Amino acid sequence: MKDGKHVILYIDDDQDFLDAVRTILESNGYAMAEASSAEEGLKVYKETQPDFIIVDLMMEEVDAGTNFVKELRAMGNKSPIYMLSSVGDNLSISTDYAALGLNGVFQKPIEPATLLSVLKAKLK
Amino acid sequence: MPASDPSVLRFIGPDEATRCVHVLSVPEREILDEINRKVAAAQSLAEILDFVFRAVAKVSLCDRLSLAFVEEQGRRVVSHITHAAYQPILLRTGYAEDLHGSSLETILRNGTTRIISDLQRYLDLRPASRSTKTLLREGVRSSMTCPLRVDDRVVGLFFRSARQPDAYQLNHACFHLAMAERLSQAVEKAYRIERLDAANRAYFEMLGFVTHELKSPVASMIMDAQLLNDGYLGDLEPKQRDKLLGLIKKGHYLLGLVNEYLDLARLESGQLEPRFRENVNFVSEVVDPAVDIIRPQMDARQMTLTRDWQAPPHAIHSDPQLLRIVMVNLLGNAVKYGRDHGEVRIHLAADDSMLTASVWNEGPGFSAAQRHLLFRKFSRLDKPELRKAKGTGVGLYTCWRIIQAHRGTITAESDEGEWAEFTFRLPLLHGGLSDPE
Repeated sequence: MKDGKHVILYIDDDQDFLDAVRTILESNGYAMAEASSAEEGLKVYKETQPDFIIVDLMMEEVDAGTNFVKELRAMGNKSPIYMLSSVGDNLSISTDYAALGLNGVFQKPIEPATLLSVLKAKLK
Repeated sequence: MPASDPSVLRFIGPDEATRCVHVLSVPEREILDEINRKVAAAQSLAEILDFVFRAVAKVSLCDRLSLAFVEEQGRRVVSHITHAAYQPILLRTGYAEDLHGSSLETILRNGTTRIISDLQRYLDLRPASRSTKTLLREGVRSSMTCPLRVDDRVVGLFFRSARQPDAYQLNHACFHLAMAERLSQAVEKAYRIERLDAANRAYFEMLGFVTHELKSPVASMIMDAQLLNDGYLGDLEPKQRDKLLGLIKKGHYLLGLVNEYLDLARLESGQLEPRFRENVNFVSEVVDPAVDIIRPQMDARQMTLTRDWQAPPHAIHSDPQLLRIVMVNLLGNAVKYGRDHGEVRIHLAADDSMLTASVWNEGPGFSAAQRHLLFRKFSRLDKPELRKAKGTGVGLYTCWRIIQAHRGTITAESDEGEWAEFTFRLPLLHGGLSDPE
C-alpha cells in the first residue's frame, strides 16, 4: 500500500501497454509502479513492495519474464502474480505456468473490466 | 593487352561448338552416353556430377568441376555444386556474384562457351573480378564455362577448370557443351526443387516475421481504443463510441489472423516440434487455459459453456502447449461460428487407450460435402452464414497437424443448420490414464 492505495507493479517492455494500464489503474484508485525489464522489475519490486504484480513473460530477452517470477518466489513474495499472454505466445513458453507459481493469466490486449474485476477480487 | 586478347579469353559460338562434335574421342562419347543413362534413371544432379568429375578427370585435364544456378532473371549467379581434386575449395556452394558487366554475361546472352587460357592474365583485364581472384588463390589457371539451357532459357553455368594455363581448346569446349546439354534436364529438376524449397522457406519466414511484428501494435491499438470507448480519456458521443466499437472488433479480428498465421509459420518452419511430457493434466493444463483465453469472446456473445465429463480423464502423454493451441482453435471456432446466446459444450471421455475430446456448438455447421475441406490448409467454407465470421483457413489445418504429431485423429460432424462438433482422439500411451497426484 502507498498513501492508502494498493500498488500494482507492471512489467512490460512496451511503453504503450504501460501507459494504457496506468490510465486504467490510476483512474480506479490504484497506484502503479512500472518497469520495462525484468532486472528493473526486481529493483522496483524491492522499492515499492507491490500488492499485485503483472508481468509480460514474452519480453524481448528470452526467459527474462520467467526468471523474474522465479526470483520473486525465491525472495518470498506473497503478492499475486499474473502474467500477460496472447494466444500465439503459448507456444514459446516451455515452462508450466502453475509450476512457476503464477496466479493467473491476462490476455493481451487487457480488457479493462477483466483487469479491474481480478484486482477487486484479489485485493480485498 | 587488348580486352579481347584471344590468347587469354575466347568465346566459342554455339554453332561452332556443335559443329565439332565429330572430334569427340571414344571415352568422351562413352561419358556422354553414361550421363544420358543417369539422367534417364533420374539420378540426382549431385550423383551425376560426381560421376562426371571422376570420369572427365581420367580423359583430360580437370581439377575442378562446378555448376551454378542463374537467378534473379539473369542478374546473379550462385554456385551450387563444386568438385575439386584439391583442398581447400575457396569459392564454395552459395557463393554469389552479380552478372552485370562480367564476361559471364556474354555466355548468358549469346549461349557461347568461354575459355580463359590464363586466369592470371585475365585478372589483368578484369582486376575487379572477385571470383577470378578466389580461383587463382585455389591455384586454378585456366577454365572453361558454358551455359546450361532448358527450353532456350539459361538456367545455369557449367564450369571446368585446370591448375595449369592453356588447358583447353576447341575440342574440349565441344565436349563441355555436349555434357552441358545432357545435364540440363537434371539441372532443371534440381533447380526447381531448390527454388520451391527456398520459396517455401522464405514465405514462412516472412509470414512469421510479419505476424510477429504486427502482434504488439495491433494489441496496443485495441487497448487504446478500448480505453477511449470506456471513457478513460474523456466523454464521447454515442456515434463516436459506435465507431470505436467497430475499430475494436476489427482489431480483434486482425489479432486472430495474426495468431493463426504465427502458429502456421512456426509449424511449417519446424518450431512446433512436439515436446512430449508424461502425466499432462488435460483439464487443468489444456482445457482450463484455453477456456480462459476464449471466455471474453464467449461472454460478449452471451454464450453458455457446458463442461461435460464424469470422471475427468486427467493425465496423458502429450505436449500440453500444442494441445492448448488445438483447444483454443476449436473453442474459438465454436464461438466465432456459433449462435448468439447459444451453447458451447466441451465433452471429454477416455477408455483404456484413448482420450476423446470434443467441442460442440449450436450454429449453421457445414454440409457433408464441405467436411473434407475443413482440415486443409487455406481452405475456407464458402457459405453465406459463415462469410460474416471471417477466418484464415489455417486454424483447423494447424489443429490437424498437431493432432497428427500426437498420432491421433481429428474429425468433424454437423447437422447442417443446427450444430457442429469437432472431435479429436489421442492415444494415452504408456498404459493408459495415470493420476497426476
